[in-house]
Amino acid sequence: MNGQPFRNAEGGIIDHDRSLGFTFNGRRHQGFAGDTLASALLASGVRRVARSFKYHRPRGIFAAGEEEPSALVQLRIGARTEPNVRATRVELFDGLVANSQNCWPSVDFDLGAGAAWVSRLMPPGFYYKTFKWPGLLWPAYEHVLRKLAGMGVAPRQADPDRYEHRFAHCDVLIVGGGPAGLSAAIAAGRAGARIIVADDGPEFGGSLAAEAGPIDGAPAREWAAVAVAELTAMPYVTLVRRASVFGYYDHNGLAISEHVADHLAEPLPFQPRQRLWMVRARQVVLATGATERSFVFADNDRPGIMLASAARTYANRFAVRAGRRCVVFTNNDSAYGAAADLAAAGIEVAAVIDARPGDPGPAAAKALGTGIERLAGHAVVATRGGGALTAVEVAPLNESGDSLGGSLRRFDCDLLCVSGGWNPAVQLHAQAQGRPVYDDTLAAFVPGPSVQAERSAGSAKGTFTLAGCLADGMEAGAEAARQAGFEAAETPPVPACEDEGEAAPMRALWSVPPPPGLRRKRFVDLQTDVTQADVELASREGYKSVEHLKRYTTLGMGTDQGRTGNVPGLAVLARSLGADIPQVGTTTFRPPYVPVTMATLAGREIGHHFQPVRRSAMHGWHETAGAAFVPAGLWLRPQFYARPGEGLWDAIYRETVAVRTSVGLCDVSTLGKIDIQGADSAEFLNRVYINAWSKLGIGRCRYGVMLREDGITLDDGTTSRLARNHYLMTTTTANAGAVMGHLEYFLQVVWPELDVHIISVTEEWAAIALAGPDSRKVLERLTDDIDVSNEALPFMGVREGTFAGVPGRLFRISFSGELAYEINVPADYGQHLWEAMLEAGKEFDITPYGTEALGILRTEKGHVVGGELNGRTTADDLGFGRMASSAKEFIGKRSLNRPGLTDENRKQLVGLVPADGKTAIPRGAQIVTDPDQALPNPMIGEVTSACYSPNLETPIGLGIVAAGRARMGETLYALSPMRGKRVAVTVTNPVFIDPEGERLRA
Amino acid sequence: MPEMPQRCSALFDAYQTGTFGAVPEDGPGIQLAERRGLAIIHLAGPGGDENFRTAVKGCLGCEAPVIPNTTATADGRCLLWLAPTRWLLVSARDAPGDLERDLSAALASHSGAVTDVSSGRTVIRVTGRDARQLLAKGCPLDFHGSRFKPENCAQSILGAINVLLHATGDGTAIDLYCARGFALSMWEWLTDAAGEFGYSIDVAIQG
Amino acid sequence: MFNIRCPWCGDRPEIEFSYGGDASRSRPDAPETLSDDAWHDYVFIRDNPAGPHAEYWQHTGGCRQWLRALRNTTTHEILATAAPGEPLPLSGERK
Repeated sequence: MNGQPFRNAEGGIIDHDRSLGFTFNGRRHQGFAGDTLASALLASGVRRVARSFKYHRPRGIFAAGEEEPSALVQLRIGARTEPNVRATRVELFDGLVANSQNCWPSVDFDLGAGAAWVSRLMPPGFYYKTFKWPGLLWPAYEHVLRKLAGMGVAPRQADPDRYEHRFAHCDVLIVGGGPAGLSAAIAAGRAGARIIVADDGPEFGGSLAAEAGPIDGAPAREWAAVAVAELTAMPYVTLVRRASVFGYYDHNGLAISEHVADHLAEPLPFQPRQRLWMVRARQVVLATGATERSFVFADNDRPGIMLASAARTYANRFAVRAGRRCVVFTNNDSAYGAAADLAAAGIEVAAVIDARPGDPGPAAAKALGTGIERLAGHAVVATRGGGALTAVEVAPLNESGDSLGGSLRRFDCDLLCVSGGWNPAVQLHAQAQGRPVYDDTLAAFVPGPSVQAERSAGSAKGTFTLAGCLADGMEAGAEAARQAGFEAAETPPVPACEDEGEAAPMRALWSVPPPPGLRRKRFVDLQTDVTQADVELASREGYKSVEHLKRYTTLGMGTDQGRTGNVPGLAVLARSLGADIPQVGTTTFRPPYVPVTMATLAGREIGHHFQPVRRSAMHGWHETAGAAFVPAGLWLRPQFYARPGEGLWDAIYRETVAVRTSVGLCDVSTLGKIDIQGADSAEFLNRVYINAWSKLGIGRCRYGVMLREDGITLDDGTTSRLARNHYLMTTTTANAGAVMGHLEYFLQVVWPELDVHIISVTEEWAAIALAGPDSRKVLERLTDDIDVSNEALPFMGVREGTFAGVPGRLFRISFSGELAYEINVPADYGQHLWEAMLEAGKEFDITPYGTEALGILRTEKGHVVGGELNGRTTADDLGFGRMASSAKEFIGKRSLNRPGLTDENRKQLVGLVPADGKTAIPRGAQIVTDPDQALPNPMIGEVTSACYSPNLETPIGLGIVAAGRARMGETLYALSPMRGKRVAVTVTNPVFIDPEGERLRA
Repeated sequence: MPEMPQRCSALFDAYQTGTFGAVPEDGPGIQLAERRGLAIIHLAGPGGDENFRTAVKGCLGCEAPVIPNTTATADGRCLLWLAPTRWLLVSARDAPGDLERDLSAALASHSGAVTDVSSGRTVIRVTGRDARQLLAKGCPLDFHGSRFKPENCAQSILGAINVLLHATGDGTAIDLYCARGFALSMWEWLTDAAGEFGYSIDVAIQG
Repeated sequence: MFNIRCPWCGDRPEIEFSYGGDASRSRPDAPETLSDDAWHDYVFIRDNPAGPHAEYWQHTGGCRQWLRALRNTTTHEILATAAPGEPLPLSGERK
């Protein structure tokens, strides 16, 4: 038995000798290489492919291309399963598995179809109107409704495939590889322009493959093959197949989704499944073609109703008869050629129903011949059928198109081909800020004036003859090349095509009135199940703007973005408003023009490659030592080093105590380091820091605070004077980039006259802090060319020397408040020095410590970090007010007398200890004076840092509290209601350890 | 006094020579190799000042290019344009410290700054017929031969990492300079992206 | 994604740049001589024009130079760019 009863033995551009097996809804079928899933299903006689979104009505295959609204399937199974795939866009491969969506238990018997019975109760906005109250119950409603709504099923497993990105540049990007696109490519390519041609099909040619008439006396596809061969031979031409241009962005940036391996069962090893192209084109030619549309009439959605051009494509390209007996319903000439091709393919054409009262153009009449009945001035008014079409009812249509005359005539048929006119694909033009204009003759929107460097060609521009498309393309390609700088570009001669003669004008017909007494659904948008009644109701309810109509009814919001439904919807809205279509206008076209998978947008920036990681020179050692890491910007920093058997807190406690009692070392390479040189360096520092730098001696460093122009603290850190005109600035890890940009702004824009050169040297130097009472003893073993005694190298001294054989820099600075040093060596020697320091410190039980211990140590010492430098605190708030020099100008100084910054109630840095000496202070808690006061309880501050101090053996914290320095000894309350915490705290000096600084000067 | 130890590359642990990915019949489309042991010096100064440029040339034998995104090579030393007042000096034949000292001395009487950044940069050489395709996966530069020409350089972004690219020699080899801290991420990005073309990791180039 | 013409590096994509704020005003030479109101205006008050607007950008993913760009805020067209200190052409077509 013939497994493909609707397949012709010959014809088309499929490979009749290569049979491919596939499974649809659990049944095995056969197709041929070159098929789409849709053509193979039609060949096998499968007519019901899906259930509709809202009413669960049976739907078939409506189109042959990307405009398909109905035949959405769940493609593949397992990790590669993909919902909402248009069957018309799936290239058949052996072993393909697809299933219908929106139906349970099956597409033929769908319980959800009960929705149709209650559909009169489901007007637009039904869910909003019905389930609005009580609002609290919405989550429960949503849970049930979500099951009824059909959107396919997302895969539950991780996507196993690769997705790539690539940037591309060209002189001319040509979107579409049909007659106009290929012509444009020839013209621009011959001019020598660098061009990219993207076509969404597996082969170039578009309608030339099977639908168009002869060119230069040979089949059109031969002309296409020659054109492709010529383009392929041009070194500056890139042809991209299976590539949909889905976004037209600013400054001629366009995005393409290339389906590299979707036509294979699975990608080859290392082959991406899809690739996102981000193209910058000097000029663009939009040869995106046109989409045929249907009419609105009763039951216009049954399986078996199909665009005339689609049925023609199935016949000519795939050798598939989309039915046995068909009726063609049209308002224009294009369907005549389709009818003739269908007849030639062996489909019985019962009649051509032409809404126009007069005759078609001569070419159309000739194509149809004499053997097929033609009814002029008639329309299909209703259809019949159970699961699929069995007959249509036809009646005469009056002149204005709003009432029927005469009696109904019935034609038995299983295929109704509809052609309600053509919509040029203006979407990309509109995304590029162009404004499509309505063309009365075509009853369609055509491209308006261009804003970006683009032009449309061929049927995308409203040119519908083959000769016209070729000529249009040639001209557009040459013009684009000229605009891109190839001034000598010439328009190549247009090849000879058959004279198609003058087409008879189309009749703008959108909606056919139903026969008297028949109350059936008349769909405007097949994918979102929006009917004419829905649009009319929305208009009566006041949704008169097309943008509001769209959101209220969901017209055009499906995956097809209303390709076939939008313009009829506008027409229906216009009529119910008593307005013209141009007055109603279109909705805004936005990317993506076609569905794009999230994976393609993500590319390889997933998992391990989600974002780059910055590692210090000692990272490998930290890893080997079992460090836990914490991100600091893009850096990964060791958080703590747990020994076997140790818990997190054990490790942190041990590391903290080691620094206070013996010695520890810490990787501080992530701190920003900026090399400053030039004769005006000191002056520059004077201007960017609040404190004075003129008197800093060589070999000394100083703590500095810098402000933003509004007087708020930007960053802090130490800056060392290495030589007369050579300084090294350090910044916090978090602000390194911002500070660099800030300094560059002032040097390049505001003070270009200063002789100062700055460069980030963060990456050049590995930086290791050595802290604790034994640190000097360790240091003595590392260097023999620096006198590290307290006398020779006092606190805030800086020396250059050799450490474990490596030349580097030594800074006597302390973050922990202990006797401490920081050693910098070129990063290539960082790990060597680290290991040498561990060796040198062995007898003092030298202990590597991470950011947790570092955080505790600095909190004990009252040093501020991100929680306190939070973009809201001034230098005075943090206790640095007296550092600010009155003798010089500096960035932000002019703002310091603003009333808001001098308010005596500003929040100031204070220390906090629990009043009971033992309860932990909740981080981020709000501080109040009276915890029992009625809400809203005035919050006078917040806890910015909190920890348990192993050295004080009590919880401590830092906070910023209104007029905090005047509250020493006061008891306040730290409240964290979300965590149910309430802790009485005593306000103290923020320096908990060694407030006199004796240790760090020891 | 202990011996000066060997410099340790940021890629030391990850570097494994061999052939990987989907290698076509005519061999891998990409060759990757790290350049090690280079002296890399950041030079800043008034590019428009003839005396400054003369002093630079006198010391290095090599002009500081004034045309943006171009390089000048002489005698094993290369100066890459970074900004109107900044260049990167790369030498395979000098020790970093010596070069920094010599150049500083030569520019002592000029406005300018010489900063050794040899440890702070990792240099990866990408060659092979698909080299530019590989880079176009993550770098928005126009890699067409007419735009990114031999001895051009450019600073851009590759896979979210700031990078300096240099089309060395006849332009078939492209050297990538990135911050040391990002070197391993860049290496992982490159080797992952190169799988599609097939790639080899060659013995690191000394110099 | 914008295409911004760096005065040195030429046409580069937006991802190489960082936005740097309003460039229609310059920092006063001597802030200390300004009235409180004048300083307040400089620091905090910004116009929000529909049309051409001068902006600072920094080529952070490139040569790290600051530049000024004249961008039409309604169309995103960048009408001109210039190095700091250079006049920013108020019109002039891009090639």
